[in-house]
Amino acid sequence: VRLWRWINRSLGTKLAVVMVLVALLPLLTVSALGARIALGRLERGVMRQTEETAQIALNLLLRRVQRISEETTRLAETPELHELVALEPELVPRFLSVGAKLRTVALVEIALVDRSVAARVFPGHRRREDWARLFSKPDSPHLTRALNYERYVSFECVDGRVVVRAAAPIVDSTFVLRGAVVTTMPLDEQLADYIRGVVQAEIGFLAGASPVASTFVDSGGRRVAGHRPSGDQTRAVERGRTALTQAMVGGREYALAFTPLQTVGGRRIGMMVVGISLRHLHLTKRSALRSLLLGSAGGLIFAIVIAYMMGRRITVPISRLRESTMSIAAGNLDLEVDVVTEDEIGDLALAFQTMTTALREHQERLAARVRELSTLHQIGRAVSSVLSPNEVLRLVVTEVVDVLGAERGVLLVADDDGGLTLSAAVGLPDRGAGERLPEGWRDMARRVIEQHGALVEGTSLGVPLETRDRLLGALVAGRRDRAGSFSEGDLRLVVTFCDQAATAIENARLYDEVRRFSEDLEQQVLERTGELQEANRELEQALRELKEAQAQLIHSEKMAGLGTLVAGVAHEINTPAGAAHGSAQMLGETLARLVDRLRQLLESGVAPEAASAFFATANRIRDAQATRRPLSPIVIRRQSRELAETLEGHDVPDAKRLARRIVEARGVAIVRHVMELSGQVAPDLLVGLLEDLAYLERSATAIQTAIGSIVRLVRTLKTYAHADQAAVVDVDVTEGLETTLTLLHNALRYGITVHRKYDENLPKVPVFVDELNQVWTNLLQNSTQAMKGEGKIEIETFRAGDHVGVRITDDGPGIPEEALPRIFEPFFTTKPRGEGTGLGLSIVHRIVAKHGGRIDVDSRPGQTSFTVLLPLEGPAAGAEHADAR
Amino acid sequence: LVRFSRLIPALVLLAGCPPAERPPVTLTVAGVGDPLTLDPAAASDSESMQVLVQIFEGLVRYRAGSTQVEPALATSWRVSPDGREWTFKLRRGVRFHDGTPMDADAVVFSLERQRDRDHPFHLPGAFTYWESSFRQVKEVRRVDRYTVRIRLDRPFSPFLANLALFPVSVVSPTSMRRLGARRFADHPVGTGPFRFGSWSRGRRVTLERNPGYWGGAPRVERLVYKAIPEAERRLVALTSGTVDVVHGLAPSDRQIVSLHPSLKLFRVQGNNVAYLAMNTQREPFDDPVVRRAVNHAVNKHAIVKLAYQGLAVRAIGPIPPVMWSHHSGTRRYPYNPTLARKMLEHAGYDFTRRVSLNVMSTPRPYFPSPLLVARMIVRDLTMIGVKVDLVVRPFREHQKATQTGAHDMCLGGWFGDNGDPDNFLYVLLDRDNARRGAARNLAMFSNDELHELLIRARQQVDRGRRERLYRRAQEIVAEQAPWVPLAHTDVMVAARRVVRNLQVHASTAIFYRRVVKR
Repeated sequence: VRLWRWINRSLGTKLAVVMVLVALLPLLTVSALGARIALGRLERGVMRQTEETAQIALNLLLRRVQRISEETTRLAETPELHELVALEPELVPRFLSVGAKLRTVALVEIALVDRSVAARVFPGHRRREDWARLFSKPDSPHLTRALNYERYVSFECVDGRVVVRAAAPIVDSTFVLRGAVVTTMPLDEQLADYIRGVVQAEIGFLAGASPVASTFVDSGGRRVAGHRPSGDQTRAVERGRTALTQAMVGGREYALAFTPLQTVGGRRIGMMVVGISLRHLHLTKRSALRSLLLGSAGGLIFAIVIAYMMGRRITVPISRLRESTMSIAAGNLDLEVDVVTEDEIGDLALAFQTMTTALREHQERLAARVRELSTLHQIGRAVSSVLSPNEVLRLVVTEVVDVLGAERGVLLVADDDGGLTLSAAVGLPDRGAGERLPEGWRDMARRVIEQHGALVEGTSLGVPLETRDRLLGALVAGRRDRAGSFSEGDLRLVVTFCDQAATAIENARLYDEVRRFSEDLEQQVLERTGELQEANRELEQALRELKEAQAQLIHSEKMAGLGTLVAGVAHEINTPAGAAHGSAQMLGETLARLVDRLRQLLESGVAPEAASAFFATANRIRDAQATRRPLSPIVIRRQSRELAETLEGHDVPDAKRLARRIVEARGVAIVRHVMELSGQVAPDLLVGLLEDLAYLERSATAIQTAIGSIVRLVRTLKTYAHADQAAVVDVDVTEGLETTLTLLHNALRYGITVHRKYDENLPKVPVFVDELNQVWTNLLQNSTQAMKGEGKIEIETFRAGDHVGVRITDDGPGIPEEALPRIFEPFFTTKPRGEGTGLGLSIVHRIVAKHGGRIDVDSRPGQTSFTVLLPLEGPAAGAEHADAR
Repeated sequence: LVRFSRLIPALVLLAGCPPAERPPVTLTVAGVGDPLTLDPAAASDSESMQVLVQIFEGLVRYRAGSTQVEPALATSWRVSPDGREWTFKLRRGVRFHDGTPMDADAVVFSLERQRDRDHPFHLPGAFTYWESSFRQVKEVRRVDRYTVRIRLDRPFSPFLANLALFPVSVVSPTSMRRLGARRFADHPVGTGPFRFGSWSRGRRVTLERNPGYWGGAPRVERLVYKAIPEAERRLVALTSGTVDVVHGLAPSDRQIVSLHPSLKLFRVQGNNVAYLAMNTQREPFDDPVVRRAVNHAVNKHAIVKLAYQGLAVRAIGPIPPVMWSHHSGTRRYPYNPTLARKMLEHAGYDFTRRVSLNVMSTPRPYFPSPLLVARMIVRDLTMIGVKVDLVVRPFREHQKATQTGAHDMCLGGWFGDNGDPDNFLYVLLDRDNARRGAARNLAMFSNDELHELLIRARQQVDRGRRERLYRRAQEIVAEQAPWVPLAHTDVMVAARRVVRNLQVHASTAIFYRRVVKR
């Protein structure tokens, strides 16, 4: 606390403390940080070096492995070995001990195809019992592979050790498999020493995670097994990564890198560890820390001295300035500030003095200006509130004279041709005219206008009156001699005022002009209205004429439509009529034949009971005839075959042919009679009778059908015409559509398929039936023509709110986009000349409009649909009914 | 204070930590040699191909891990019902590395330049792929800015698969006009995930990533292709970490790679076939029974194990298993020398005659040791009493000699150009290619039913129907046995474990689009 108080006592002390802190803190932070980074890098460098050394050692080990694999293959390919293995296996051991280079580092075995080992040699630096643990067993996988023509090399874990195992097949020159060479090299101290000699770092091998052999030694120079990695490190290695750590091994600290050893299948079975001593790193760290401490202490002392000196240079002038300020605050404005430094504090003192002087002068000027401005404001408001030009002019002059304290003043307004007219005056004799203007004023006014600037001459003052784009005139004011001349201040005041006044004058003038112009306009409008009414009457007349012409045309289009319709109907009737005619003709011929056959039957003297039974059956068959479908050829063939067999069984002659005829006449039931009677009557005759009867029935049905369709058509036509139903009737639009479709049947028959999507719950709509049918006819005709007789039409009915809708869609080429807005106009057609009058859709539009409905079209290539919406409440009451004859 | 402020920079230096510039994430790839050219239309060697597929793209590309195609610069396509008009919709918003937009004009330029001999950028005689695989193209036309129509002079269904080949990549017309066709080959400009950086002949090609690549910028910033001709040095470079990826790995190095914990081996079934062809137009192999006997006599298992070191699969027919339409249910010929001998005796084979077997002495990608294979076959045939004379020649001469059809038997192999079975069946076994002097069909095999099937398959657009035709064709080939199909070699690539998402395709191309290096 006492220290804090001492520091707080003076600015100098505070500054010194702050500067010491400011200078020293970064210095200390930076150097501590630097040391940390540098030392960290050093340490990381050692770790990285360890990791790199581990990689090099691993590559070296693998190179060694590869060499062993190559040597093994080479040995397996030796021709002498082939011969020995094939012919004299007992001599193989001798060959090995003489010829194989490998035996100095590894166990070499020669296996035969039966998996027995023919020979085995190993170097003598280890005991036989040690080697015996590494011998191949008959079911070892490496042996299996080699005896399957495959070369093999891998790390393996055998008996708690990691070994390199290589195997190669012995295949002789005729490609017969003779056996295999197996080489096994343990990862032992000897190999570790070899690698240590190359990479200059300690090396160790681990089986799983337990150390097996290494080059690490303790303080007594004895070998130690090595370091066992932690669980985390083991897991990292098992995932195939290199684990780095620092640990004590044999009493010394090492940076250690564990790298995995894996089988050819990727299973991690052991590790190799590389260790680099950390002694050098520790020495370096210690010396670096020492230098840092010394450097910091020196820096601290240096900073304190500098800070003290700088602090003094700043605090002395400040305290002088403080004294002067106190004295100025007491009111002594003329005081000289006695600060002699040339730095910012000296400048501050000078500026301080200048400031007080300037302050006082400004205060006085400000007060005068405020007075002028308040006067000006008052006048301005008065002038702007008046709108009559003359009034404004007079007011301006009055106010100027008043403000200036002058006795007289005039305002001269400029004409378009440059003349000046006296417009307002104050203080002049009452008769007021140009001649009475004081001497030199007009001249003065002209000059101020020319040079666009105010003038003061003796006791007279002239100011131009102008807005931004327009000259209005000039204002001249004067004092009598005794009052003296005008000052600069007066002039500035008047100029400012006149700027405002000019705007007010201009506004007043413009207002006046606008008022006069509007009076003119009213008169002109009255005249034009008369002319327009006349033109309107003429137009109405023309329109009436046009409407009559249009009605005429619509009628003729309808007649043309009717013509098409009649042609179609005629065709419709013609077809069934032709069919009926043909059938009737055949009927006659068949009857003649039938009579002839009946005669033959009678003459044959057949028993009447048998004949009657035959006819009873024949009649039954005939009755059924009409409702049956025709038989398929396959069925006919099958039934004929069966029947023929039955007939042949009864010795009926020509059975096959008869059977077929019976089947075709659907008379299988008659067979019984044919067989019964075959002794008395020719079977041909019986079958012929049956056929005639069947034919008669078919003809009668055909005629009936034909006449039926004619009757239906005629009825439909009647419905369509509805000549007697001009009134509104509730109808189901589906019926109307169906009627129209029936009538257009001819046009739609070929190539056009009609899909119906009728809403079954569609309510009835009150319509003019005959006219509505016309709508459907026109739309459908339009579609078929657009499609050129080929395609698909879809008719859909639906309910849409309080409307019933019908949508007719075709997949024709569509209506060109530019034509779309005009299709409902009369005489507009996209059909080729002569195919359409262009009234069809126009009529449709009118009829739909008459029903108070709406028609919409939506067209694009391949899909054009017309949607007609008819209101459920019927044609609007009181709507003007267009004549739709 | 002045003296003090001078101290500050010194202090910063003392701290020793000015932020270092981060080097770009670089992936180094070692291959056997230098590319010959970087003009996609003129290239035909595999080293050029490896680089070109990074810089360029075509209208379609192979789907990963398959020989089927998927959209690349074209987003969709349509073929007319008569199979002669292919319409491609192009991807919008794709830009070349020089900043110009990729559109229909660029596609037309890239293809027409190869087709039209009067094109200002046509290099006479240089476009070998076009001559062999795109002759049926009649016209390439722009329909609108993003639509291209290609007309063929006849229906040709392998056409779409052909379009995934690198020679029909889309090149930047602007850059080619600026540089000329010859200089463009040293400064290629395409739309691919990497753009060309520099090329030091015989040493390395450097590519930079294309940050605006439409499929997302690659994570690797720089791609370096190094030429290291010796297999051993490639392995050393890989284990020491100076390169990240190695292709062209020697079979004997394979085991070392899999023993190394920081390396990874990629093995992809190859789009290739190695086979023994028997001349079906000469005695004694004009008799299908003799040919079937030879099929029973050859011990493929031993060949695959010994000669290929297990890095291949036994072939049962011409079509590799990775190719669509591969048929595994055709007639099989298990190794059975006794049966083979009996079949020969039954066929009345003249055991005193000697037959020739033509072999190349140079290793091929599909035959790592052709002589060993030949000797094993000779031994197998000797076992059943067939006397064989080996005729060994360097590859070029071997090729010339076998194309004349003067051999009894010969070894042959084929690397598929595109992902289409036509490329195997039609090229290697149709009677059209059994012309003496330029025969690709080394068995001189001529079968009318097969011919008809293959021609129909060529004109058929529907994939399912084509597959049925090709399956039938494979049955005929198995039945008639003009070959002893031997093996389909695996494509082998070794990479460092830090390299993720490497995509090795059956065509041997390696894609680095999604590769991450950690």
